[in-house]
Amino acid sequence: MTNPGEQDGSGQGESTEDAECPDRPWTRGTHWTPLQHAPPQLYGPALRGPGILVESTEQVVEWARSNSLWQMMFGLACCAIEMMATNVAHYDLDRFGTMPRASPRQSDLMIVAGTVTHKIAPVVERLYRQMAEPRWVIAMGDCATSGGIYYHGAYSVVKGVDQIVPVDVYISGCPPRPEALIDAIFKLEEMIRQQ
Amino acid sequence: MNDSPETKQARAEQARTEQARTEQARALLDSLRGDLGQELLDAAIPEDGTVKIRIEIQQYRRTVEALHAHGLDRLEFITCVDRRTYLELLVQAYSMKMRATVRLTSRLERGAAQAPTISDLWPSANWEEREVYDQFGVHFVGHPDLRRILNPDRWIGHPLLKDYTDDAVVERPDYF
Repeated sequence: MTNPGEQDGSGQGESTEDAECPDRPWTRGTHWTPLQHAPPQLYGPALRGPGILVESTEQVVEWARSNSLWQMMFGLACCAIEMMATNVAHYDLDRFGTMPRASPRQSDLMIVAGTVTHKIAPVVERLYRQMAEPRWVIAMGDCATSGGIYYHGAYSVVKGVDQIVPVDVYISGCPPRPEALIDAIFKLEEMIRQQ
Repeated sequence: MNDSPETKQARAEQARTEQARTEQARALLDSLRGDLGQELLDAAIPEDGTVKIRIEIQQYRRTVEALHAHGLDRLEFITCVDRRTYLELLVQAYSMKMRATVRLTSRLERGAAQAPTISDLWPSANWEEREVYDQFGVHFVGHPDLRRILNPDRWIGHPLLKDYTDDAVVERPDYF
């Protein structure tokens, strides 16, 4: 493989394979192809012209909301471990503006991570009502989505948290990977921006 | 077997400890036999060294008092099993000094299950009996505070009984 720019004409481009890229010494003489990045997406309100903000106020607000989804810490079962793993350094949900808050008053997003039992269900509803609007809910994992492995024969488990609070995004998995949770948060951000 | 001398020594040590424990358990069972006599319906020491005894529910309180008097100072659990025709009450206690475990089983009548409380002997029996009451509906006579402990207070029925039904329970289809 060669650099695409040098490929037209004869096969002379192969000689560059061993040549060291002078401006990129970390390649250590190996072949290096520039990655074809997608054009950067425009986030938020665009500055068009000399300092004139041409976006509606709603769009600005939605942009701001979607980029600071503070989540409420709501771990009910083993999905909470994955949620914690998503929050800490390796997956670092904080870089997307989502960080855990220990109070429903300060949070916009409730990630219901785990099995919702009949005993905890009133607490879930109450905490949801205590959150300030606008508020969103992610049902994380099979248990919160439908009851999961407790769907059949279990006396103690609510068959999905959507029987208690409205849910915006469902994540499947038992438990879902942190990537799935991050994807769900991206989906929610898209949803908020398109509202 | 090419075991090193250390391994052999450790094995011998372990065998000796186990033998000592079995002897301890046997001595405990003999002592219990002397104390309870005919009331033991069934008594055995299986390989794990646990003394297993079965008694009628009428002798339950007396038997537990005898166990307590024999120095079984730690109550490990009280639980119940629904055998469909009867309920089986299980109590397991452990002696720190003798390192012996005793498991006591007793049959309870289905429907109006009653047993005397033992929470005055071992205080930790209080919550265990509440749990058995909550999940199986066994009434412990003389319990100071027999309330539900796991299920919500307004719950109707005792969910771990085999014939428990509820509107929220979805029966499993016959997959298997």
